[in-house]
Amino acid sequence: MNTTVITQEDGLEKIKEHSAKIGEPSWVLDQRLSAARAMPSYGEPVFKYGIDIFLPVDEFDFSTIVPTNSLQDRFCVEKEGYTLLDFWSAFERYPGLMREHLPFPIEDKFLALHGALWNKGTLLYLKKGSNVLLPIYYDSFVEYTNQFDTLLVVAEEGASAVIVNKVAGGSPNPVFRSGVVRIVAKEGAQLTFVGLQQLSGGTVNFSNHSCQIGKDASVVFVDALIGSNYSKSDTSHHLLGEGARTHHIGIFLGDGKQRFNISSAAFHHKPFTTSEIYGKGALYGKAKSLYRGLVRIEKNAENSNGYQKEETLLLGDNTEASAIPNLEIHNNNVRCSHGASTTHVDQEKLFYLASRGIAEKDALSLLVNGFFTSIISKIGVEEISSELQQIMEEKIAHAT
Amino acid sequence: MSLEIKDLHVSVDGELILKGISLSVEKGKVYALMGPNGSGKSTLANVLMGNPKYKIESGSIFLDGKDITKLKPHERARLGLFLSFQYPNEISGVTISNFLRTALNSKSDKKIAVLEFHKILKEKMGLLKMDKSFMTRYLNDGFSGGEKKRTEILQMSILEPNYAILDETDSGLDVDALKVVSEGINQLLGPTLGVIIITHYQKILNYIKPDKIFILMDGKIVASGEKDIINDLEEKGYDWIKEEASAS
Repeated sequence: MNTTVITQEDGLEKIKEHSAKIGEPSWVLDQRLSAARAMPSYGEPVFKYGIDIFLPVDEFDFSTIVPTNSLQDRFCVEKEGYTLLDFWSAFERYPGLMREHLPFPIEDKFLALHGALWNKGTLLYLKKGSNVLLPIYYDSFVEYTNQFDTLLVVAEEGASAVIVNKVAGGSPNPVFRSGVVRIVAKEGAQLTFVGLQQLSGGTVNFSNHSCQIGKDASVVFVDALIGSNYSKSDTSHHLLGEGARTHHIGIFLGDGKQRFNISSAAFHHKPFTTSEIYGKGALYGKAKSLYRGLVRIEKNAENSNGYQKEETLLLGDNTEASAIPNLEIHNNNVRCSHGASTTHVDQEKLFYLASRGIAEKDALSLLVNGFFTSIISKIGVEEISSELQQIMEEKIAHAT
Repeated sequence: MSLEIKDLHVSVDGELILKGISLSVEKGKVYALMGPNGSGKSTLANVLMGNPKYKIESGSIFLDGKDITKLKPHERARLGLFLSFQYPNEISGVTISNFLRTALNSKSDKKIAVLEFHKILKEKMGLLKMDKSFMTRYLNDGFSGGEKKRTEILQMSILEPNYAILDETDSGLDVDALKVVSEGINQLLGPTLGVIIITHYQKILNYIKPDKIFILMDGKIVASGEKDIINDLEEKGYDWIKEEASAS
């Protein structure tokens, strides 16, 4: 991965020029520069896990990732209970809040790159006690150039909302997209976040999601990966207050030569916290997936529950899937379980459906759609479940 | 108009199970195919429907004059053949309503409207004394034995086949369930439907009267007759037929 172009003096100058042109506060520029300077200290990404698992990023040349001048327009949507606005507007309106949450912790080279180059940023601010009844839709549209977009959701005490973030666009030619989502659910907040990635075929997508969940707050996080050529999607749930709950729903559906590299982790920092991580995926053609799950229970997090289950359905002869569920438990007084499996379509079930006049391809689609029904219904918001189901039915009907 | 089975030899995993079966099933008639466990009854049911697990070594199947020996299961179904499974599969995530509408639509070019379909489905479910909550339940998922068999007959009533093979539809049913299922089948009988009832026991034949009875043993039809043969069976068991068959 060639990132020297960014960390060299002319790269840093470009970032400075760019930042000055936008007119962002100096502390934002300082964060960009320190992220850029930190990049060489992170190892090269290897896309290799354990001994046998390797997910190649075949067709993408990372040296093409450079600072871009494309920039989102300023906007501010004010609705009952919440405000949705771009970062630069937010620096003026909520300077304290923005300084509290930026920069996001940098864990690897891609997050450092993101910290240096982000060119789209959106804040969703949910006011204390607000109960937003209709889902809040926010689309992340990826242009034909490299894009680094950030979405920060801050839910004040007792706020509740359903947020749908569709990630679409991109290009049939190689385009890099880096997306960072950070969710802060304060005491008693209840959030359902649905991330729906439908990027076009050439896009290489790196997304990093993190949820900070406070006392008695609960989060349902949906990470649905349908599109893109290579999709790396990492989600971490931090249960930071007693009674915090999280429910992770990971879905992936791939065909052709799609690659998925997914991780979902729950970190139990406090007692009486609960995490449930579900993952379901189906692969057609030559698609490959790697799924890593982790439940980590800290020493003082007694009386916590952690559960994770992952299931992948292999539909093509050349598909491959690996799943690595992990538990790290540092307290004896907890309940945890995990499981992962890879399955194939049951030929007897296909015969049963075919015996009613349903052609094999349609019978297979019925079975695959049925396979996803249980996890989609866990989202708990009927209109969003049925929308996602429709999107998946469409892809399943044409998967090759 | 008939379903003709001609000298059918069938193997499973390399073992010959059916050793020359010939049968003619006419529309408007009910046939019973009886035999002890392992005689090949379910193999015949599966091979007629085209289960790819079963290999036809020789022989042929004709449906209303058309050779269907090499057709795929869905093609046979579209020509009007139906199999009520001995052990229906559980299909999670697919509702009975969605499944049956897909099946019905795939049988003809004319697509049925959702509301019209629901009306028909509710009516048929009523005849089988099924609660309408079954419409939105996943196909056979968590169903009792009786519910599964009732659902098989529901499918048959919706798809209106010309020839139906009922593979041990009576097995696993208590007396009340057997009565409901039998009544459901009786309602479907008529001049446009030929039925083969495959059964190990005689009980279902108290409710559905067959025109002809065949006895299958060791992959061959060893006896045939009318209702007298049932009485003999009841009295003397299958061993009697075995002796009769080997004596002749």
